[in-house]
Amino acid sequence: MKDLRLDTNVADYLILVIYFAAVLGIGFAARRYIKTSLDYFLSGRSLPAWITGLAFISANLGALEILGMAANGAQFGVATVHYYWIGAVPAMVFLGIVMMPFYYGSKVRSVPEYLRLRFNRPTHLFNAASFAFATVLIAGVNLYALALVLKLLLGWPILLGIVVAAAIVLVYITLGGLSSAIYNEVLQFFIILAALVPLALVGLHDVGGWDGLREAVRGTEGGEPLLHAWKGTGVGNVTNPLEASWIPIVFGLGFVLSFGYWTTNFAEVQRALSAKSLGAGQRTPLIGAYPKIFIPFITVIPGLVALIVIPGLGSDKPNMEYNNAIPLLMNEYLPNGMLGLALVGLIAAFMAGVAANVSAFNTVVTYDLWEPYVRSGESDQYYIRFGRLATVGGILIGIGTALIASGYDNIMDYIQLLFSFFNAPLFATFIIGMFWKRMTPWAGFWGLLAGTLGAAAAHFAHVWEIVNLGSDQAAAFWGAIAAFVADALVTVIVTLVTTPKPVEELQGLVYGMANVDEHEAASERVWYRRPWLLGSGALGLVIVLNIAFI
Amino acid sequence: MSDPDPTRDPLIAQHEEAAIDSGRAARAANLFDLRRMIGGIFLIYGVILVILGIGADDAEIDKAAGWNLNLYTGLAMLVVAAFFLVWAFMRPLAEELGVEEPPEGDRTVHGAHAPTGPDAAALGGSETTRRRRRGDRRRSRE
Repeated sequence: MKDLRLDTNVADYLILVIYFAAVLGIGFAARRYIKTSLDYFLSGRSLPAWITGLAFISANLGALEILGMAANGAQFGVATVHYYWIGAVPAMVFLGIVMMPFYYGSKVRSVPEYLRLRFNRPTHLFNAASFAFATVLIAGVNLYALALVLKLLLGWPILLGIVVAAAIVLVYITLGGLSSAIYNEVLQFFIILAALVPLALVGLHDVGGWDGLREAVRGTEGGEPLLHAWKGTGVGNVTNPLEASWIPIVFGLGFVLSFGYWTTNFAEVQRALSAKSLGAGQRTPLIGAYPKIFIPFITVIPGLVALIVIPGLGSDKPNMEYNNAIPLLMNEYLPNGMLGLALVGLIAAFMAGVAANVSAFNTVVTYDLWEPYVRSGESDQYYIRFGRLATVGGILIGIGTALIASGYDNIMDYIQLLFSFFNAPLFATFIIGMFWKRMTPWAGFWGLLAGTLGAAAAHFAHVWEIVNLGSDQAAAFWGAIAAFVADALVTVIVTLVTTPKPVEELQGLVYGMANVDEHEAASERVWYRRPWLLGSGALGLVIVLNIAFI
Repeated sequence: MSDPDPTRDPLIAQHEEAAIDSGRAARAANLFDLRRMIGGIFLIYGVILVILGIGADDAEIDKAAGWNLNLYTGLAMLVVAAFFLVWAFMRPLAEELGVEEPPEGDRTVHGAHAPTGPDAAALGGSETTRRRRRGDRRRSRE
């Protein structure tokens, strides 16, 4: 058995303490500028696009994502790039170019709120409640995962790890609201890069560069297929490590799952809503797309390096799970100092994961549950106070979830599964609702419900082995397709038998009736800020890279 | 986006009004500068890593496959720190957001001095200035 405990010294802890001080400092600094509830929940819609764009990407670059994608890199090899190049970038471009004018132009303060205006209150309540519920549980999962890593690497007891991380996030979100969450996300983004880029480079150097890495991977059990993104994905001839043909990859992952996550998940969209103008809001996901394209180089490469230099990775031996690929590499290569930096990067990424979910949670609970359904018409100050209370409540529930998760290993998987049931059908409802004026309010409700059930049905068909859908990943892709189809079918049928909303109530919400910014500043019209140009640049880059790693 | 409530939704309208009344653009100018935060923390980390790198022994260098990882990373972090700090000091936030009130009706001149380059949109522009003026006028009437 390999002990994973890092040989930390005073330099590593110094780096850690400096980081915590900076995080809390940002919270106190942000606090001074909060005067209205929009400041607290949407940063007063004042942030520049480079900040919201990087926050957009780092709200997703939580440590679960980093450790998980490195694990996928070790297990599935180069095919992991599908989660980025097919499974993220096209959806981000679509959000920026097509959907942001509706979100930003209609002045909604959250994604569920769009459903309230476009459809009706039952649709809104269903989505707001399921989102709030799933989000706060995901925050708890992040907390627990952080505590696990702290235990593994530093020997901290689980409870201590949970409480310390929760307390820090609590302080900076309660004080500074979304601004402080976003500023910390951007800071975290640079720190995680500062830790992972050297780790990837030193690993690559050790195995003899890219050619050496390829040579060594060919000698492993997985062999040549680990080096290709698209080889062996032909229907009926599936030999790639993901065990998925191009159909579930393109339609399940690339279309439904990815568009559902990136265009309707409020934890992401909230970052774009906090931008200072419609143009900056549109650029938020487009600017985020560029770093996203290159993140596989710092997750997949360390995964593959770990496969080679850590004998026994992926076996049943203790601490040798694929998920530990990055911590094991840190132990292998990093001297004290860099070790502390990498540790800070991981902790920061976990806290960003918790904070992104908690800041989306408090907004939805305040604007989408408490204000419309419990106490309307209170002063703006009242809702800021309520938002702070919701933050405390959300973190306490998160701690509770984390403690339960520490008793039951599998609960983390269940929570993420639950989240995918709610998330998968959303894109169908949004896209049909935005482009088909006739779609009725009740079609919104029944479509979402049917899609959620469709995702659940596909999942249980897989686990009870009623149908063979390939690996768990491939099954998740098929589940997303099922959710989309069920949602779309029910939406169309219900629309045909119910009454649509009068067209004048749809101003700003549907295609052809978007609110445009007539006073658009001249600086917004500079060629390099045009959304379609930024978007096609990102898509072009993705195509080139897919061909290079085919 | 001059209409505070294009959706005519009463729940949204109340908060938009609150935001406009409190002169949010003036506050945006006060938002602390993230560029200095990133620059500052990278500067501190860079210095620590470079010092550790200079004092590195053979065991540490062997561990990192023959590289003095602390030294190289520390130097790279100092370069990043310099980039952010130079950017922040060359174009201070207050100036970017047009805190020095340009004469009324002077928008084209202001536009001519507006920052250019990929970061310019990031840091302000006439939208913010316009909103702020509206806020100022509102206050001067009070």
